Amino acid sequence: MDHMGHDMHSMGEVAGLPMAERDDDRDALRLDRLHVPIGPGLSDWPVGLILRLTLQGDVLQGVEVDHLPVPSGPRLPYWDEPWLLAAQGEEVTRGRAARRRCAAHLDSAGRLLAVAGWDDGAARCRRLRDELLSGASRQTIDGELRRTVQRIGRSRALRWSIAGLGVLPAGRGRAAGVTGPALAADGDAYDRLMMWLGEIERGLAELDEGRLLTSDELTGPRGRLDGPRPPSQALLDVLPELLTGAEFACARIIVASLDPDIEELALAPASGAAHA
Amino acid sequence: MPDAAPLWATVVLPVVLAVAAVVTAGFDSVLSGAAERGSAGSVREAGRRAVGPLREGLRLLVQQPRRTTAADRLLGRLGVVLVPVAAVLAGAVLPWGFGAVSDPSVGVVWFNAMEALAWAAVWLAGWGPNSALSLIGGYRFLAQGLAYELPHMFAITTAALGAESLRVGEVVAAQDGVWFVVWMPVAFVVYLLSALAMAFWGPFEYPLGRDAAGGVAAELAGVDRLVFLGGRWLLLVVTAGFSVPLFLGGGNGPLLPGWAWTLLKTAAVLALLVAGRRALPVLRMERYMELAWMVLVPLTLLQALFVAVVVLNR
Repeated sequence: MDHMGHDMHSMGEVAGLPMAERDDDRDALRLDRLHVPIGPGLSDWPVGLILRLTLQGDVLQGVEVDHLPVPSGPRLPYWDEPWLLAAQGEEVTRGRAARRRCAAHLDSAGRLLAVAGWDDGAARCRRLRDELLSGASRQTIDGELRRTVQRIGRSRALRWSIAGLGVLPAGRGRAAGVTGPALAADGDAYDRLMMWLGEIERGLAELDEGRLLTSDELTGPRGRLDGPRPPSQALLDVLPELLTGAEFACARIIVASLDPDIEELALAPASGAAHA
Repeated sequence: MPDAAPLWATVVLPVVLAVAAVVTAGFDSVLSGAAERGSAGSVREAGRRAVGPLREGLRLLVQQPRRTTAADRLLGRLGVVLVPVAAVLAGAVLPWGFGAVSDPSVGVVWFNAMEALAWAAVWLAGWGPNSALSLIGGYRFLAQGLAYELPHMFAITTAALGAESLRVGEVVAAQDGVWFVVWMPVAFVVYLLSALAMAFWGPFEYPLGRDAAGGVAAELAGVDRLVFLGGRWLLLVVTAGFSVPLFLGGGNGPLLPGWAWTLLKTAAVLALLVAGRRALPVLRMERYMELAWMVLVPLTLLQALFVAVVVLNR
């Protein structure tokens, strides 16, 4: 803490915990600053992600993005599996890929809704995700999935609660290397949620598609898998910019609306493309 | 005015409130079970889901309390215990149809004072563990208080104004003919919103928000957690129950005795709140504050003005 320099003379420790230091905030007020790490294990949080926050009041003054070491092994990142397998030359049906994409978006939406405090919506998303992954046929799941998606899309209270948070214009996203729904949404947390919901509905039509995925279709749920970096890396890269200056209450909504997948970072650069 | 209740009512009150809280929590658990695992299918399964909160309560009883470094154990405990205490004390002025445990001439003010006690309780419980997340939760409740308290007070005042009395018994008596909800609908709706806010439950769960890892309750485990969260259900029951004497005519109604009407109406209000909660995310206070001050305060003031004019011309 010594490197913080000024105003440190009376700072010490209480019960082994460092006291808050003080520093100027964005309004040039001198306020306590507190270092609070969140993650790596937290409910409704991308597993393994660590954010080291510097808080002044409830405003995030500094954000450092970190994550647990990503285990590298033969296992492919779960949510990207169908596309990567296809790139390696295996036979993967479009239906299987669509199923995985829908489930991935339901998983993300469930996390975002849980963080936004809509337990009911989150629970429904998660149940449908599990049903999709356990192989429910299109007929059995179609009605309820559509109803759930519509219900979420129609909720004015949800829109009112999360609109305007974490605005990521397409230009800025593209510069950071973001691809996939977060780029296409070209907007805030709510727009990204709507983008997921839209892809879920479109994917639903393809669930029983028997044609094979071609090896150059390398767009997973979070973006292009044949780029120089895994899509989640780009999502992590935009986090500090989106979070700095945000209030603590908004921070988790912003993270959940991007929903980086730490497992995806194990993806060696263009691992799939090499085979393609 | 109803007669004062017998002395045994004092002892029975907390028990009745606790039973009502367990039933409400059970109903809520059935609804969330349907969202999480699909419809129950059989009565047996529905019953199993309904006793979920009770099972969780027993589990908490035997769980180790958690200790945090440099915690303010005294104030933290005090905060936790004050939640159910405030709920029961507020419940003392609830008329059960035949009479309240106590019916002081300032009953409405007493009720409001007890909710101010709940403010202190939640903040202290957030302060106690010396954890950033629970402190954030504690402060969220203060922000929430700033947002909901003014419209809430105006709503309560409107009912008292209509009865020209702060005595709960007289507020009920004044609704012998027409219930207040009929000519004070705005006050009633605002009251229901603030009842949720006061019990920091449902869309007003912000101080216990998931995004702050449970906020005030983040570090609570074992008996502490049981008392705090159980106290919250008690608060919900009491605040929802208080809407009955204020706006829904109390024990007034045909055929059935007063206590039965009170029970029915309270159950209806609770069911409405618990079911309505399923449709809403948590309201972030940063956004709700705007609505509360720009829309709800003027609306409740207009409502109070309307009632005042009616009362003056009576």
